[in-house]
Amino acid sequence: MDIITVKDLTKKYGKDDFEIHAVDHMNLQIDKREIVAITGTSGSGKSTLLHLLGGVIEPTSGDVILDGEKLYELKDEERSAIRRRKIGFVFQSYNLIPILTAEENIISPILLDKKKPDPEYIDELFDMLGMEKWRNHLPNQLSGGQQQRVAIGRALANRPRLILADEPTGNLDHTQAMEIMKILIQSAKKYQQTLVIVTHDMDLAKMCQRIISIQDGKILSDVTNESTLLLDK
Amino acid sequence: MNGFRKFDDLFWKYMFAYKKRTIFTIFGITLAVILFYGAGTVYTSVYQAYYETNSKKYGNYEAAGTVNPEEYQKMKKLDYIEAMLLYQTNTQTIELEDTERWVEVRQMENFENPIFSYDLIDGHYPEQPDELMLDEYQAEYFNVRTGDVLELQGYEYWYGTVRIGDGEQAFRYLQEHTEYDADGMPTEESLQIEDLEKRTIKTRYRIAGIYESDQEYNDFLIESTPFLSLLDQEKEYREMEVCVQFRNHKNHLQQLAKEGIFLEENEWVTEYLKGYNNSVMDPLLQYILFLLAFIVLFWIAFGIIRNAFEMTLEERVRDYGILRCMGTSQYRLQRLLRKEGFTMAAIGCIMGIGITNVMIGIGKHIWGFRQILQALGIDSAFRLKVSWYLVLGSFIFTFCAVLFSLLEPARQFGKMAPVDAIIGKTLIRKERIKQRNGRLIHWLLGIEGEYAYKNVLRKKGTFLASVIGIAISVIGIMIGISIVHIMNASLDDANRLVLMDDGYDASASFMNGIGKGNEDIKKFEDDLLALESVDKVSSCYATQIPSDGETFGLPDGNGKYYTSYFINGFDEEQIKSLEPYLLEGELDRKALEEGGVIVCRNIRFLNVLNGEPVISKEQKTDLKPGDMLFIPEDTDNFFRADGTIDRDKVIACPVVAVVDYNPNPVLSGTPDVIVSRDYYQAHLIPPDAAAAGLYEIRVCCSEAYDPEEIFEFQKAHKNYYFTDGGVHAEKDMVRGYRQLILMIAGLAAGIGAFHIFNTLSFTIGLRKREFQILKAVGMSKRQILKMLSMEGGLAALFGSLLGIGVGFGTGLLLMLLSGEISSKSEYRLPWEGIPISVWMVVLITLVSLLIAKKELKNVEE
Repeated sequence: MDIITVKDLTKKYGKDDFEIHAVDHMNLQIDKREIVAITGTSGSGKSTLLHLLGGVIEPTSGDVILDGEKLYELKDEERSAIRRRKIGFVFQSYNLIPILTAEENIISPILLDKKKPDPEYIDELFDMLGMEKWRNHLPNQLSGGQQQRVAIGRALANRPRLILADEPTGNLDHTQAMEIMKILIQSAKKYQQTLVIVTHDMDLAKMCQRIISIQDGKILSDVTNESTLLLDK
Repeated sequence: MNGFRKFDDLFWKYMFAYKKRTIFTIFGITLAVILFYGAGTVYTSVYQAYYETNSKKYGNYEAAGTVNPEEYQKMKKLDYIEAMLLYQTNTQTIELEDTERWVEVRQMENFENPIFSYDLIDGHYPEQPDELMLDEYQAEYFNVRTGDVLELQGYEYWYGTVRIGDGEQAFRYLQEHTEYDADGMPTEESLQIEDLEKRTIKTRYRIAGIYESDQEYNDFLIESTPFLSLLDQEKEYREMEVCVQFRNHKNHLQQLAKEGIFLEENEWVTEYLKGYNNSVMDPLLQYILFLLAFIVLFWIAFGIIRNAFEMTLEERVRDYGILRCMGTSQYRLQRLLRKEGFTMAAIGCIMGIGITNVMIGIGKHIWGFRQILQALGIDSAFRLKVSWYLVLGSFIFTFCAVLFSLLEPARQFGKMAPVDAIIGKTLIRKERIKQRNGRLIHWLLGIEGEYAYKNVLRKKGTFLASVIGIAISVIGIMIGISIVHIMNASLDDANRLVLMDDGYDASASFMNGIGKGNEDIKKFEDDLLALESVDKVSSCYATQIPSDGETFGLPDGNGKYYTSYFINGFDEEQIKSLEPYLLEGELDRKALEEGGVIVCRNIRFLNVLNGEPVISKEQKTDLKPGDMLFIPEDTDNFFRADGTIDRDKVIACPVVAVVDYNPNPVLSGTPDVIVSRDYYQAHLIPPDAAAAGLYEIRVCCSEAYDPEEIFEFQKAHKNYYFTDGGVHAEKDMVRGYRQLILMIAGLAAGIGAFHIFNTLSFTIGLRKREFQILKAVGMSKRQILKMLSMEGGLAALFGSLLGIGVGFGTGLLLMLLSGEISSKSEYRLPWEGIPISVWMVVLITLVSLLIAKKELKNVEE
C-alpha cells in the first residue's frame, strides 16, 4: 500500500539556455512504513524531489499524490494542513525557530494545528531524543547534534505518517550522524512512519530498506536493500 | 512552554525577541501618529483657542442687533435663545476731535453674564446708574482709580458718548457744523449753542471698579473701549442693542428672522462655528487642505511603517520559511504578521497620542511653540483640546497604514516557496543585474562602486526606504521655504521688520488739529522720531476728493468711471522722490506752484515679495499732460444739498506730469493726485483747516518697536493719537512663523534622520554575513565603508531629487491654495531650499556613515 505516488513529475529552473531540469518526468511509489534513501551527486535533483514530495515547492508539471490526495491540486490552506498533520520535515541546517526554546520548537506544530500538546508524548519524545536536560534551551545554546534532535522531535510532534529528511546529517560528524540516523529509523519503526531521507552518504543510505539513486532529475536505480530487510525480519 | 500556549503567541515572542526592531517600529509608528494626531490636535486646539479668545474679547454671542421693547420681550420667550444681554449704547461715533478724549459710556443691564465677561481687578461692579467701571489701561491712561469721581458731559442725542473736560471747543465746533433735519432732530450742520446747552447732560460718575483688559494697551484705541455703567431702568428706550447667544451655539438667525427680528452675526465668534454665513474658510478649501495634509502625513507615516515592516520580513524570511514548511499557511503567517503589526500600531498609537497630548498640554511652556501662540494672540486661551474623532481617526489611520505597509511585503513573501525562504533568498525576486552596467560602474568607481550599485539593485526595498527618508527631510525644508514665500507675499520685507501693505506700519494724528500749523506738525514728527520704536515718519497732507461716479472725479483707464481720489500736498523732497517714476511730462516746479497736478497712472501695492512693489493693473487713470483735472475749491462742501456738484466752486488744474505710481507710503487702493504742498494749503483746503490739511503722519516702525513705549508716549501726549496698524502682532507673527518653519524643518530632518538610521542599522545587521564574507575574501573595513558611502550617496542623490521635485510641487500647490485666501500671492520656486537641502543631506549621510562604522564594529565583534 503506497503512501506516495509521483506521476510524471517535472521541476524546471531558469529559462531558455539556462533551463535546468531538476526533476525530469519522474514516476515513483513509496509504500507505507517504508524507509527510503534518495541518493545522488550534488545537483542531481534529490533535494528538489524531496521538497516536491513535501509540497513546499511548486512542480512545473505532474503531481504528487500523498495518502490519496493530489498535493498540487489543493489550495495553500489545505496543502499547509497536510504538511502540518501528515508530514514532518528535517533539514540539514536544523532550521529551528531561534526565538523558541527546544520544547517550544517541538510543540509548535501541535499548537499550529490548534491542539494541546500531550505532555506524556512530549516527555516520551524528549526521552527518545535524549534531550530531557535541554528542554528550555534556545537553539543557539545547543550543539549541532542537539539541534538536529530537536528538529527531529519537532518533525515527530504531530505524529505524522511521513518524515522527509533532507541531508539530516550533513552538518554533523560521523558519530553524531550515525546517532541521528538511528533515532530517525528507530522512531519511524516505533511510530510506523514512512521515512524518506536524502543523503549522498552511501553508508547512511545502506541503513535504509530502499535506495533510490538519482541523476539529472531521473531515477538511475531503485533497489531494495536486502540486508536491511533481513535485519528487520 | 511558559507563555507559549497557542501558535499565535509567536507574534509577541517575536516582538520580545527582536526588541530593538520592535522598539524602532513602535517609535516609527509613534512618530507618524505624532505627525497625524499632532497636526489635527494642534489645529483643533488652536481653533478652540481662537474661538475662546474672540468670544472673550468680542463677546460670546452669535448675533446682535437693535430691537424695540416689544421684540425684546418676544425674544425672551424663544426657547432657542440661550442667553440675551441688553445694553444701551450709542452707535454713533462722534467725529469731533478735541483737545481731550471722548469716551463712550455703555449702559448695560448687568455685568455678570455669559456673553461679555468682565473680570474685576479692583472695586465692584457698578450698582447704581451713576457708577461706572473702566478697563485697567484706561484707568492708567486717565490716571484715575476706584472711588474717583469723573464729570462727563454729553448731549441727549449722543447719549452714550460723553466728553471728559469742559467741552467749550466742542460746542463752538458744533455751533458751526450742526443743523436740524426735517424731523427737527439736530444734524451736524446747524446746532445752535442754546440748543446744545439745553441738551447737555452733565453727569458725575463714580468709578466703582476696574476690570481686566483682554488686550494689552488696547491697540491704543482707547476711546473705543467703553466705560461701563448700569442701565438707567427708568429711561424708556425705544431702541435697544441686544446680544444673543443661541442654544448650543447653533445658527437660529433664520428662525429669528421669521419672527420679524433681524440680527447680525458676531463674525468674530461665528467664523469658528459651523453653519454660519461667515465661517472662517471656504469648506471646499478646507477640505482640500485637509486632504492634502492627510495625503502628505499618510505618505510619510506609510513610508516609515512600510520601511520597518519590510525590514522585519527581510529579517525573518528564514523563520517564516521554516514555519511554512511546518505547515503554516500563508494566511496564518499573514495573520501572525498582522497581529504583530496591529499590536505595535496600538502601542505606537497610544504612545503617539499620549506624547502629543502631553506636548500640546505643556505647549505654552515650550520655546518656539509659545512664541507662535503669542504671535497668534491665543497664548492665554490655548489648551489641549482632545477630539475623540481624531483619536479614533488616528487609530484607523495607523491601522490602515500598518495594513497597507504589510500588504506588499506579505504578498511578495507569499509568492516565495518556503524552501527558498529557508535558504535565505530575499523578498525581492528581481535580482538580475546587468553585468555590463556593473562593469561600467566598476570602471568609474572601482570595485566598491560596483558592489554598491549591485547592492542597490538587489535591495531595492531597502534602498527605496533610504531614498524616502531623505526625501521626507528635503520636502520638509522645501515646504518650509514655500511657507516663508507665502508669508513674504503678505509682508513687504520680513527681514527688515514689517512693513504693512500700504508702506507704513502705524499712523499718528492730532486728537484735535484745529489751530495746528506746520510747526506743530514738525514738533509732532520730532516727538515721534525721538521714540526708539519709530524708524521714520512721513507726513501725509491729503484730502479725499469725492466723485459723483458719472461725470466728476478721477477718470479711470477706461474713461468711463470717475472715482474718488486723494489729493496729496507734497513738499519738495517728496516731489523729488517721484523723478524715477516719471512717465510723461515734467515735474515742473513753477507749474506745480501755480496749480499744476501730477497724476499717478497706476496704483501700487506693497504686499509683494521682497519689497518689490506690485503695480495694480486694474485701477489706473489715463489722464495725460495737458488734460485738466477739476478739483473742488471747498472739499467739505463739494456737493450741493440736492446732491449735485457745485461747479462754480471747481478749480481746473492742468496735468503737468504723469508718474507710474507714488513711491511714498500710500493709502492702499486709492488713486493719487499730487500737487505742491504750498498750493494745497493755500487753495485746496480751508484756511482754518485742522492741522493745516494734515491727513496723518505715516510711521515706519523700527526693530525696537515696543508697545509699552508707545503707551507711555500716549499718556504723555494726550493730544497725539497713535494707531498701531498691527505692527506688534505682525512682528510677533514673523517671529512665530520663523519658529514654526524651524520646527517643521527640524521635525522633517529628525524624521528623515530616524528613517535613515533605522534602515541603515538594520540593513547592516542583516548584511552581517555578507560583510564577513567580503572581509574573508580580502575586502578591508575601509573598502566596506566606501561601498556603504556610495550606497548612501546614491540614496542621498535620488532622495534629494525626489524631495526637491515633490517639494517644488507641494510648494506650488500651497501657493495656489493660499491664493484663495490672499489674492496677492505669487509663486516663487523655493530655490534657496536646494543648498540647504544639500547641506542637510550631506550631514545626514555623514552621520549615517558614522553609525555604519559603529555597526560594522559590532559585526566584527
